[in-house]
Amino acid sequence: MDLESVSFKRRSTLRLQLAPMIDIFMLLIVFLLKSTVVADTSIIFPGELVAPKSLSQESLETFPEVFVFNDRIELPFIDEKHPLASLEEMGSAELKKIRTKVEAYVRSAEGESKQNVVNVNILSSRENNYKNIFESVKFLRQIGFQSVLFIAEGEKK
Amino acid sequence: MEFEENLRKETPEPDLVPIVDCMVSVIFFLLFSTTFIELTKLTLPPSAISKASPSDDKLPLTPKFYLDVKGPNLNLLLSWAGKSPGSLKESVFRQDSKSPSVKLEDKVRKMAEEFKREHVSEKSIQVALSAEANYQELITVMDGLRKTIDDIVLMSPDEVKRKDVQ
Repeated sequence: MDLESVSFKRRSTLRLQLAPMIDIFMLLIVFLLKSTVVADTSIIFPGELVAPKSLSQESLETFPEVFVFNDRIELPFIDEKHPLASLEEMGSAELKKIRTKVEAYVRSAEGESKQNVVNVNILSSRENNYKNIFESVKFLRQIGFQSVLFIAEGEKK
Repeated sequence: MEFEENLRKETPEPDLVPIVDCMVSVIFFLLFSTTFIELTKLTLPPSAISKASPSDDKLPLTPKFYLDVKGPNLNLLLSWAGKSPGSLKESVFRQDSKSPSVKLEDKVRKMAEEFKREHVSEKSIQVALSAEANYQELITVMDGLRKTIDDIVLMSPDEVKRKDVQ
């Protein structure tokens, strides 16, 4: 018997090709990371504030953020903090001073965002009362902002 | 005669299993972290370009919506001027501020729709809530109104006192 002519079938062990799998995962990670950066509309509510819920379907836009707490209003982009009780009695000189700061901030904004800085996002807690919200909106209009956007947590009906 | 030992060089193979595990965890973390919360916005119109739209009767309608907190209830009033002035009244039980009131949103929406049926061209409305009403109630009212009327202008809470919404 010619033993050389006999061919033995070798059983090939099944090996998982990990290289393409890792390539795909890497692409997915890069895509997910990139997509979160591109949106650039991440708004972080401070721990003290609980966002109200809204049925509105509008998407967020990148505008300066104003925080309205129960007792104070904070404008971090121009480094201003004021007690809400003082807004009504604020004199025209102080309003003018803040308005100048806002104008300087608008001038410093570059390119496309320049149009956006005349709008402002309001972040407040759902328990905050209407008087505080109204006084804050009035104050923001007085210091030069044209449009006020209330930020809420989206909820489907 | 001494032969050199044929040493086989073993190629180092990195252990890929924990790397894959780690990546899968990262993907799930990223996927879930992006869906935690969905924020939205409600816009007040820019003051610089707001203008009153011509009313149906040539006289300004200036519709106004009032919400007054009276005990356990919220009294709602939608009033307008024009050639044939009118008003709509509703009342709804006040809920806690933790969740938006579906009933409030429904009532406000129905009132706005009824008004809009007669005054199709009206595009803006003034809104006033009493001082003790909360932000969630304002957002809910705006949700109800914005389905039919685009522009919302806020009025002072003192307007509610002056109007004495019953």
